[in-house]
Amino acid sequence: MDMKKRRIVPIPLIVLICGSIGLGYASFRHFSHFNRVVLEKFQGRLWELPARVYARPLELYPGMPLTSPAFEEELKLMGYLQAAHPAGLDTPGKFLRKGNTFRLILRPFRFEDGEASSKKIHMIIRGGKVDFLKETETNAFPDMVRLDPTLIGSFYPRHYEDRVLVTLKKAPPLLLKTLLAVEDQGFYDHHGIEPVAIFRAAMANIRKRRLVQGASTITQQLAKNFFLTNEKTLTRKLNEMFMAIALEKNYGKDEILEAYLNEVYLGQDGKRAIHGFGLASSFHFGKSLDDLRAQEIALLVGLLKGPSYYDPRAHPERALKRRNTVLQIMRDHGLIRIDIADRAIPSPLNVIPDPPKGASRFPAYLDLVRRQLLQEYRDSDLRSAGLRVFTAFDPQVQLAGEKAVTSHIRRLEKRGGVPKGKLQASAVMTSTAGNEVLGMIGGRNFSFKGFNRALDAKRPIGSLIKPAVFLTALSRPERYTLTTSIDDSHIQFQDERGRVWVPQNYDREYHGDTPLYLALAHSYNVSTVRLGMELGLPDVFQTLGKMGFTRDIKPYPSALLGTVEMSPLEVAQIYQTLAAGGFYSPIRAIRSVERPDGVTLQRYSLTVRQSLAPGPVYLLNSILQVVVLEGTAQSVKTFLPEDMGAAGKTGTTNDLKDSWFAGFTGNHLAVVWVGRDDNQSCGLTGASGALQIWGQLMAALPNTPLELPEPQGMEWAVVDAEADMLTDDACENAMTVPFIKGSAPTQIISCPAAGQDVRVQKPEQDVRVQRPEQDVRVQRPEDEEKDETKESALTRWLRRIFKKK
Amino acid sequence: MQLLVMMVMAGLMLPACVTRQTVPEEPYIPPAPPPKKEVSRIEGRPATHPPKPHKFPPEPPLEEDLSGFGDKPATYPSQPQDIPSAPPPKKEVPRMGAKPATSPPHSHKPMILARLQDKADEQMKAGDLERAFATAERALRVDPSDPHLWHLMAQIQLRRGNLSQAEQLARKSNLLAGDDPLLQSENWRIIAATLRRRGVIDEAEAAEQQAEALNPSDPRVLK
Repeated sequence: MDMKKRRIVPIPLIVLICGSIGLGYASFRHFSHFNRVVLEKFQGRLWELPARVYARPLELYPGMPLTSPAFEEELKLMGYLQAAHPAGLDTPGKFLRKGNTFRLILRPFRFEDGEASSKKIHMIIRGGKVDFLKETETNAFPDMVRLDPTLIGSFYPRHYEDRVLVTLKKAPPLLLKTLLAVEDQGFYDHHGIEPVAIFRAAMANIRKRRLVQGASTITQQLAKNFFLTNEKTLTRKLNEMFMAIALEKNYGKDEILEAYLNEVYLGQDGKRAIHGFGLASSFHFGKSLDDLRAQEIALLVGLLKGPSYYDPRAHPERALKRRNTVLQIMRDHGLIRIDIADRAIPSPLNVIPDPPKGASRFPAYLDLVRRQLLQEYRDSDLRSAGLRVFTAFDPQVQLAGEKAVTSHIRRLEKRGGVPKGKLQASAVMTSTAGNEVLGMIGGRNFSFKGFNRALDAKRPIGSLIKPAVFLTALSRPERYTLTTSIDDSHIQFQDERGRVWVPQNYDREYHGDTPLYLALAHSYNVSTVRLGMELGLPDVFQTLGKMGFTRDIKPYPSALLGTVEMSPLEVAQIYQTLAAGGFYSPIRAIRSVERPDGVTLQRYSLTVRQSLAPGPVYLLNSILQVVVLEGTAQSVKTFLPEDMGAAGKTGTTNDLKDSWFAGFTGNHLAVVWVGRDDNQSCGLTGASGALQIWGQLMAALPNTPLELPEPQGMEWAVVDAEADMLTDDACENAMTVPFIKGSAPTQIISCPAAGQDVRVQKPEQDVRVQRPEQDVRVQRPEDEEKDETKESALTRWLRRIFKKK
Repeated sequence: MQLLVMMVMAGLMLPACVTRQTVPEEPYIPPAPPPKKEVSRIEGRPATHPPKPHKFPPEPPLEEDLSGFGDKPATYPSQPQDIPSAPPPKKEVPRMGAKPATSPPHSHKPMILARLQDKADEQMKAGDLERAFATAERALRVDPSDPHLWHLMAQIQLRRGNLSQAEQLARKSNLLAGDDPLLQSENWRIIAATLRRRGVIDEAEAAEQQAEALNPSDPRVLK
C-alpha cells in the first residue's frame, strides 16, 4: 500500500510541477512580450506632440495704431473670454471692454527671450492709437506689453491625437487628489492590479450576467489607453493586467501618474482626439489647468467614466449629475471645504460654448508654413516633436483680407456676369520692410483646406509685368528717362507659331508719342511691347530675375504683355523688391522654430540684397504712384487718402480671364488675384476686380504713407513732359520731375506765360535744375520775395500788352 | 534588464532631438535667384557716387514750395555733393507723383522704438548677437524707415562676421539716410570694413574716402 501510495503521488506532482513550469514559462513569455511592448511604446509615445504654429505676438505700445473693434476681434481669436462685468475678470485669459477702454488679464507665455508672466492690463484707445497703457497691479506704465500669441494651427500626429503636456509637479494638487479618490484609492499601494477588487467586480458581473463593474486601477487604465483597443473581452482584460504589471515593474508611480494625466482620452473634436487634462482644460474651459476651480476639476475627472456619454456640450444634464457626484466624493474625502462644495454643486457647468478648434481657421497660411518647414524638417518631426513655430501671421491683416473678399466677391461675380459661386479670389499680404507674409487667402472659402491659389494657381500676370520693362529702360538713363518720348503706334510681330501678332491697347487706339511715365501709368500695351523689344527680351527677363522671379520664361514678345504665369506669392516677391527700394529679401512666413523645451532650433532672420540700382527703382516707384493718382488705378483713391502715396499696378489678361492688382503703401504690400478656376472670362479688369478687394483690404489696415526714399545721385528739373524739355515754372505744362543725375533734358521750351513765345532754346550754361525738397524760402527775407514777384508779374503783363499791340 | 530600463528612462529624459535634413549656414534660403553681388556692388560702388563738382551752378532761390516728385520729408540739409539749391516757384508747379503726407512723417516716434533700439544695442555689446538682431527686427516692425535701425543691424551682422549682410544692410541704411551725412559716413565705414576683410582693397579705400568726405570732422579722418 505504501509502495502504491508512493508510486501514485509523484505522478500528479510531476504533472503539477511540469504544468506550473510550463504555465510559468508561458506567462513569463507572455509577460516579457508585454514588457517589451511597454518599453517600446512608452518611450515612443510620450513624445508624440503636434507642432504648434503661432501668430506674431501682439505688442501693445503707446502710440501704436489700433482700433477697438480690431483689438476685441483679435482677443477673441486668441481665445480670450469677454467678461460681462468687472467681477467676471477673475482669471488669466479674460478681458473687459467698455467703449475704448480695455481691461485684461494676460495669460502667461514662455517667449524665446524669457517667460512673460500673467499681468493685469488697463488700456485706452483714442484716435486710432493706444493712448494709455498701465499695469494695474504694479501701477507701472510699460513701454510695451507683449500678449501671448494666437495659436493658428497645429500639425497633428497621423492618428490626430492632440494634447498639451502637463508635468506632475505643475498639475494642481486638487486634481491629483480627486483623481485618486475617484478612480484609484489604492494607487500608491498596489502593484498595478488589485486582485480583491477584480474578484469583487467579477462577482458583481456574474451576478448581473453582464459587465457592469470595472475594477481598473489607474495603471490598468493607462495600459488600456496606451496600447489596446476598446473591446471588452476577457483576453483584453488579461493583457491589460499583464501590461499594468509590466508598467509598474518598469516605472515609478509618479511617472505612471504623469503619463496617465497626459494620455487619458477626454473627448473628441471632429477628427481630433482630445487627450490629457492639459488640453481638456483649455478645450472645455478655455483656461489652463492651474486656473481651474473645484467644480471644473470635478467635471474633468467625472469625464473619465465616459468621455462621450458625459460630454458636457452634448449631454449637459448627465455631465452635471456626474460632476456633482464627484464633488460629493471630494467633500466626503475632505478635499474641499463643505461650504465650497455646497456653493459649487448648484453652479452651472461653465463650459465655453465655442472650444478652440483643432482644424485651423487659416489653412492657406498654415499650408505656406508647412511647405517652408518641410524644406528643412521631416514630416514625422513636424507631427510629433512638439515644435513651436513662430510666424509673422498678423490676424488683423488676415481678417481684413477675408472681409474684403467676402464683401466684394458676390458683387464682382454679378458685375462680371460669372455664374454664382464660380468666381475665385486669392491674396498675399506682406510687410514691405522685412517681406514677412502677414496673411494669405487661398480662395473664397477661407476654411477650405485644399487648393491654395495663393501658392499654386499660376496664372498669366498681364500688365503686372510692365514694371520690369520700364525698370529695364530707366536703368539706361542715357537713353530713357521718365519723360522720354516713346512710340505708341501700330507694330506687328511674328509670334511663336509664326503668325502675325499685332499688339492692341485696351482702348483699341494708338496714342502716338507718349512720355514714358504716362505709357506705364495708362498701361499702354503697344508702346510697352515696342519698348521691350528695343531693350531686348533677355534684358527685361534679367530685370525680372533681379526682382526675384527665378523660373524660366519662354522668350516670346508676348511675354512683355504678361503671358508669363505666376502665383500671387511670386508676384508679391517681385513687387516686394520694388517696395523695398531695389533690395531683395526672400519672402518669409516663419520667424523661428523652437523645441518643446524652449531651445531655439532655428531663426529665420531678415536678409537683404541690393539687387537693383536704387535710382531707377525710385523713378519706377514714382510712376507706380502716378498709376494710382491719374492712371489705371485711380479708383484706389476711393479707398485710401491721396497723401497715402500708394503705388500699384493693375493687371488684366486676354478676354478678362484674370484680374490682378499689386500695390503697396509705406508698410504693407498686397497682391490680389480674381478669376475662375476653369480659366473662363471673369468679365473683370484689374481695376474693376482685384483692385476693389485690394482697396478695401488696405483701407482697413494701419498704413503709413509711402515716402519713397530718394537715393543718391538724383537731380530734379522742371520740365514739359510732353515735349521732354526743360521749361519755365510759369508754363502750363511745367512739372517737377526726378532724373538720374546727368540725364535731365537739356533743351528748353518756353511759353507765353513765362513771357516768351513757345520756342526751343539751346541749353544755356545755367540750366535751371531744382531740388524741390530744399525749402530755401525760409532763408530769404519776405519783402524781397514779394518785390520780386511783383516785378516779374509786372514785366510779364507789360510784355503781354506789348505783344498784343 | 535593469540596465535596459535605465537606458530607456535616460532616453525619455533627454529632450526630443529633432532631426533636420539640412542646416543652412544662413538662415532660411528659399527659392531665390543666386546672389548677384557684382551687380549690387557696382550699383553701390563709391565710384558711382563721388562728390562731383556741381554740374549745375547754384542759383539764387526764386520761388517757394517746389514740391518734389515722389514723397520726401520737408527738411533736407544741404550736403557737399548735393545739387545746389533750386529756385522756388511763385506758383506751385504740379508734380507727377504723390504729394508728401501733410503731417511730418517722423514727428511722433513711439517711445518703444528707442527702447528696443537700446536693448538691441546692449545685447550686441554683451555679445548676444542673435538676440540683438531679433530685437532690432522687432523695432523694425514698428518703424521700417528708420535708417539708424538698419545701421544697427549692419553693425550686428558685422560683429557676427556675416560680411555680405553687414554690407547690404549698411547700403539699405544709406538709402534711407538721405538727410544724415554722419550716418551715411558710418555706413560707408561698415561697407569699407566688409570690403577690406574680403580683400577688395581698392573698393574699400574708395568707401573710406566716401566716409571721410561725408564726415570730415571725424577724428578717424585725421590719422
